[in-house]
Amino acid sequence: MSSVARPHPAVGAVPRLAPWAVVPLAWFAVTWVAGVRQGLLVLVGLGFGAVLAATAFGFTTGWRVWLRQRDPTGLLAQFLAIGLAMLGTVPLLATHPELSGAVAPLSWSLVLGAFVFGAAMQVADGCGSGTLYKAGLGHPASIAAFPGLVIGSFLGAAHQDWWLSWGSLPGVSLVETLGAGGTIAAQGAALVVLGALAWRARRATGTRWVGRGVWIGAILLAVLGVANLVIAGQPWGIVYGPGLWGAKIVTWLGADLSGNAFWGTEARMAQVAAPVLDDVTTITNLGLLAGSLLVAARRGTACPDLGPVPMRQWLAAIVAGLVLGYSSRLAFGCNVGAFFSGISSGSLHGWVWFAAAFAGSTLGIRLRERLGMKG
Amino acid sequence: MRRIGLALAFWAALAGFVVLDATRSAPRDRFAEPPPLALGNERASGAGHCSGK
Repeated sequence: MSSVARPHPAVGAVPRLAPWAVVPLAWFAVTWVAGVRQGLLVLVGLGFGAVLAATAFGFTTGWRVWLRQRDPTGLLAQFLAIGLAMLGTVPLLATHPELSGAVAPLSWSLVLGAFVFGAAMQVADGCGSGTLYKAGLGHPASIAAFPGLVIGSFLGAAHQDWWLSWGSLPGVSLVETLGAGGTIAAQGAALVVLGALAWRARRATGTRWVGRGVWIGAILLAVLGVANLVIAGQPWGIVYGPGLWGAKIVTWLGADLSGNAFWGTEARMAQVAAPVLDDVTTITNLGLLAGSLLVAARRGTACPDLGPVPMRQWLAAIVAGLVLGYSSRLAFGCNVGAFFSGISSGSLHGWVWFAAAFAGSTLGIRLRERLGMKG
Repeated sequence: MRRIGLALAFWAALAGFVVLDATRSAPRDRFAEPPPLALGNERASGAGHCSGK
């Protein structure tokens, strides 16, 4: 029998639990400073970050491994998450006019922006949510991309009016045209058909997503997405938050945004002037960043050692962040705001976004290979 | 080598932004806070989603 003294189980539990003590602290602090709604939303954001980091639920990687290796696992998990979120979101939108869906115009800017976003997210190795959760856990490339996401999102929104002048049609809400049942039937069938096609074309014998984690992650993301709608009154979004931060910073530097078509509206000017913690997207973003860090700290995977990063990859990450932010505002959202929330809200723009961004990702993967990036 | 310094700088910048914002933003009216849930209450102003134009 070993004579080595083992620490009392309670002693070991203290450092294991320590990171999670941040959760009630964050909830209390945000509730105290910004109110009960924001306190609930920071918990939702923490959940998003924890799920994304714990299950490696990556929109970007899911598309890339299907395009390169024909492994459909990530893509199917995304379809499952969107389908389940739709089952909660569409009936709520159909019966509760106080809730807003993610419905956006069908514009040339949507097609161009989504295509460019799809390419940039492969170079940056992260979409909107991916860049945030990886930055939160200390991934160098995502931290490098983050300032560009802020600047790009602000500028893209500021220029959105000009891009829309190229031509656009009004947004199409399937909930309004087909009703809740028709929307669920039509979009559910489309997701099943796409999933079946992806499965039929599979080639890979192994997958990076081993076990049930990614499927549980898909279910949890859907539940959290519906919770976001119920609490905030709007679906989950990412890139509006960094844009608002950029608008605040340029205002502090003396810029006057009152003449801008996007930032100069009464509601947005009020939002720029108000505390940033009042913004629902900011709160879930901050929660997402912290949630991913907590999971990484718990697992000892925070601040990963990825070896030396060549200068051109640092530059590529910075530029990709800028392009991600800018293009996402032309496209009315990223993988979360347009793809996940757009389709689960029954908006046609979500499907257009998916098609254009997926095509863009094929170009982005080639760019990634030329830059010598791994994975 | 883990890049802890880069991560610390990132989190410090983020925290600094939130603190600086608190000192520069309009004071919050605690009596005008929205209800805990949007569901069943007044419609939000619609200022802050990615799908907005």
